[in-house]
Amino acid sequence: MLMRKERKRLMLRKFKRFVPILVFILFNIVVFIISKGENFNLVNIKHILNQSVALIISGMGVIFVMSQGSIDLTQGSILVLAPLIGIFVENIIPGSFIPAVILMGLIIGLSTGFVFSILRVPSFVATLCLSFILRNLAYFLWDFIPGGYIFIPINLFVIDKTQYKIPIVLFIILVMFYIFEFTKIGKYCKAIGADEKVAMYSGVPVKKMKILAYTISGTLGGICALFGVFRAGTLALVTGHFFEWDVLVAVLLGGTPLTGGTNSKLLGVILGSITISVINNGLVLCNVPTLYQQLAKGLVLIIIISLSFEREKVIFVK
Amino acid sequence: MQIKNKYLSMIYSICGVPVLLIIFFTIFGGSRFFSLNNFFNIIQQSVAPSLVVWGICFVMIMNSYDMSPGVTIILASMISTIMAIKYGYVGLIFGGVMTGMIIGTLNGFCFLLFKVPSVILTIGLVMIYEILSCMISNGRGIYLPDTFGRLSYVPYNLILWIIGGTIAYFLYNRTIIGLHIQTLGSSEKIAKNGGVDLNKTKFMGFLICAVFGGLGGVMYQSYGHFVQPQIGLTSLVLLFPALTGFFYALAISKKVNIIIAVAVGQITLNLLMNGLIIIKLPTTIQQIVMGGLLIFVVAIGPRGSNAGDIIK
Amino acid sequence: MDESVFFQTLNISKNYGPVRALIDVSFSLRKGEVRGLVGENGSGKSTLASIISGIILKDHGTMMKDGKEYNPKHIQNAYENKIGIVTQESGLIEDLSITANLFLGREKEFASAGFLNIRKMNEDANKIIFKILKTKKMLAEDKVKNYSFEERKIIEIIKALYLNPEILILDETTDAFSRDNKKMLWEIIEKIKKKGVSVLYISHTISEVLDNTDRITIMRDGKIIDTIDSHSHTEDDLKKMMVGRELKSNYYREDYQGSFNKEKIVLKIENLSSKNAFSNVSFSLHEGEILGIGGLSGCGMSKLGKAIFGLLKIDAGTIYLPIKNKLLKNHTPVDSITQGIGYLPKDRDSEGIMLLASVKDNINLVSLDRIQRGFAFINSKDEISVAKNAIKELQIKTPNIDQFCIGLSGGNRQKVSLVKWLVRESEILILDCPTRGVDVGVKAYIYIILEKLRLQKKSIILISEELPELIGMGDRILIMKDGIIGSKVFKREEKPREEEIINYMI
Repeated sequence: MLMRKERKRLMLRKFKRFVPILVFILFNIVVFIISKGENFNLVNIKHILNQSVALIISGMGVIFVMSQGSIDLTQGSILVLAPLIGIFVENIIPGSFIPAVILMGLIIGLSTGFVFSILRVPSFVATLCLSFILRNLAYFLWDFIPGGYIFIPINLFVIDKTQYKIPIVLFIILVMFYIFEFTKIGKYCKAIGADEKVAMYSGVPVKKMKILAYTISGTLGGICALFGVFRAGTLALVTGHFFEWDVLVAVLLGGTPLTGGTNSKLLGVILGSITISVINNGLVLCNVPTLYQQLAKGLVLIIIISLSFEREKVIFVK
Repeated sequence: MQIKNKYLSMIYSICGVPVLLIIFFTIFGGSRFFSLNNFFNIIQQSVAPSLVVWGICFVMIMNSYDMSPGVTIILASMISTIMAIKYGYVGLIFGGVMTGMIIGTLNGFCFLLFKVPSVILTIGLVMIYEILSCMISNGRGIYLPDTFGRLSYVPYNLILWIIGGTIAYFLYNRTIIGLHIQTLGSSEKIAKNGGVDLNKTKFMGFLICAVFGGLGGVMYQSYGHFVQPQIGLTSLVLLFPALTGFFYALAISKKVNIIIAVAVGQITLNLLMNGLIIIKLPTTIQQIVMGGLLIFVVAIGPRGSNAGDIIK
Repeated sequence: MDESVFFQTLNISKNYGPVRALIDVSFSLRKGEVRGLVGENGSGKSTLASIISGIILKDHGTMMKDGKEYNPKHIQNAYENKIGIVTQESGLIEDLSITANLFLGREKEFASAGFLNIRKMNEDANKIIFKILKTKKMLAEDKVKNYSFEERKIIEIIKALYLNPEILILDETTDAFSRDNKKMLWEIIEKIKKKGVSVLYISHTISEVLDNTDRITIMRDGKIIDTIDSHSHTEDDLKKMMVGRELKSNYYREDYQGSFNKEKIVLKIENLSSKNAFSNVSFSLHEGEILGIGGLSGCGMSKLGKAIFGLLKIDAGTIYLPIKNKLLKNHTPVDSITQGIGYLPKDRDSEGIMLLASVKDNINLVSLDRIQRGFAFINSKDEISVAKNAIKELQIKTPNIDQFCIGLSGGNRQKVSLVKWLVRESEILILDCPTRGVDVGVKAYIYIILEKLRLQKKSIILISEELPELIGMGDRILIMKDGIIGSKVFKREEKPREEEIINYMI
């Protein structure tokens, strides 16, 4: 009895490993058919990859949070608030834009970690509220922008160029991959996701790891904000709106279950991000009205969660 | 002596915070705050949100989440307006209730079908419902003609408040489904062993929540006369005051029945928001206070039932 | 067939993996009989009670009630067949009123058009309470949480009686009762006995069982040893039957001397107290010693183990490591592990191993800071070799090291739970029921490991509910009861017997 159930579970697990790739191929095929092959040309592929860069960078940080079984909904608000603060700081200390933005991301991450770990507010409520607070803070500070208009240091736009962007992104991926797969930090995060109680009993500093995960996530959010601002050339009130949900789905599509744990895949985030970009791009190519894009995203979210939810972890679903 | 203590602590928990707020804002807001007219307005403002929070109780007590009340309010506002124009006040109320029933049924059904945590499931559903709101309204706002706005006037709004509260009270405390929801929330294991139908109870919880949300939508529309479709999950913003109201009520509910606590909590919250407006705090800062308040209320509130959350 | 046999079980067996909880249990009850059921922890009493009341399903065998086959699939089936039970764990919803709890699942009787007649429910509930208790001490409208632990047990008894059961099972219900409440309970049992109700009374209080029951059934290791007449036997007779078993030599340790270093103390506990758990616990652990701590479940020894490791808040007292000159105060498991302490929890599946993680990850988790090299780099080759060595050393049966622990048998899971501390080379090990839920083969193996550790001069605190284990493995044995450690220390060289020790536990 035990063997039959276990064999079934093993097969299911082996199958689940291929879901991200299958989904990716599936969407590409669907778009190919509907758009009559328009999606497979160099310009379009370049476009898709560019769009996925932001998701990849943010996802590299969010995976640490999600592998613990929590979620981070503050990513979008970091995209607007961090650069804004960066502008203020740049005005006081010229040349400090880049470090200021990254530092702001770090501080936001630290605060989120504090609310979650020390105040013990469930991550969903905590990050949802914080994203709300941070965005409103950005709105409030908007009126105080020195000079009255958004000014991003132009000389830094060069970073958006492909010859700089690709190495930087690759470097980030390598560093995060190293930390996640080859250091204690990644393994502790996965353990917390697998079973927080056992992790604590096995000497994992759970409270600290929770704060650390959000700090990493926030810092990478800050880096992502930089790329966003350099690519767009400016900052708007709607910057980053809904972004956190795209990141969430990207991580899920990459094969990481909602509950985190040992099946968390960092490299999967790359595939998941590209898949979302393929979906977004495909919807545009197929002339789907912007409205229905959200519909598609909602459906994708529900379906991917049903598929990847590790039901063995819970007896009663709430 | 024990009974006297019990009533005293009940009064403290109900009046404690409001009294403090009144003192604070009277100092800073003066007579603009401390006037019978203002207080009466505050009570009237509590009607619509109370309905929504009463609905949320039936899901949250079971340790599930429902993110859809925000979009339910929007959809209910739209459909009830459309039906009001055709069928008058009957259509107005019926439209709200019907919207609630449809959304509630969908929520409950999907929860039982997909078996994934309600918090994420309802977010996914909200994404879909928001699109519906755009489709129904063709992307434009919908106005409720003044002739149908009478529900927001005294005494109709207060009557509806009391009726809504009474129904919520009876449903929660005096029906089988209400007791089963409380039992399930306390211990799924004991509920199951006691013969409670878990699936039916969970489904009903979502249904009741959405119906109250629908009624809340009718009241919001009667007050504001205008509803606009929203996308990008902005409908979640409507949920913040509702969740804060719920968790505040939960914190007081040790001494007071939760349904009454909800009403009290709404008045308290509105006292705060009203006060913030009177002392001329910018809207963005008000929103920040609202968000911070929710974190605060969850942080200090009772946590027993949330231990072992799936999404931590 | 005895005419008055009202209920019987025939050859009931229940296995949990390799563990045989009930073996061929055949048992019968007469109408109007008060039967005591006694046995050590793990003897199978609660399992039998749970099967009779439909809480768990049997593997083999049949049950007959009133001449008809009785096969409950759910606790509701038992209710329908007039079998009621008061379980060891609380079955009440404390936020609801007594009334709501009494009528849980049966509210339809009071409903019209979906609305409950709460007033009538409260009236009826109060009537029932008065009928059984003969006092108005408890108000049905009150919430259960307003009542003490004892009173809640009484409510559960009332709830079971309200159904007019023909068989009533009480599983260690009154062990914490005051004398007055016990008296009241036995008066109630006398009354229902006259009406022909059979009562199955599971308890650890031997004297009470002897005084008040008609016959007593003794269980041991999943089997029924005997059913005897209460009036013609003594406490000693009972205790002998509860524990009498042949101890195979060499199953545990080969030496019969406590051979630890009496001069070297590695852990000194002084006046340790934790609210609602234990108080004023003092003892010393020596190098190379296996210190046994025994007691009934709920006596506080598990909480003591947790507290020493840093998982439970300590209100008073000190934990001192003389050799390292370190005082552990407000410490966390991280601190304990750094100081060389390891902890094997009682509840293996929810506290000991991550079921949804691989054997490799489980084994390595505690030792990651040792496996890592420069720049915090953890070489997967190192992880693999450490895991493989550990698996080999403890002969853990797993297809490969990436196998999720959920696919391992109980015994192998326990080995994984234990081996991670061996990999860590912890010097002080706190083991809570390390052989619980494993088959004899794995049990023997674990004893071999413990003996090896002892010879390696590691120190072990062995917390266990099994007397033979404590006697077989312990250099010294301390007994805990109601949160207090008894002053009597059982020494290995004195060859203590089970019958002696059990007196201190009960």
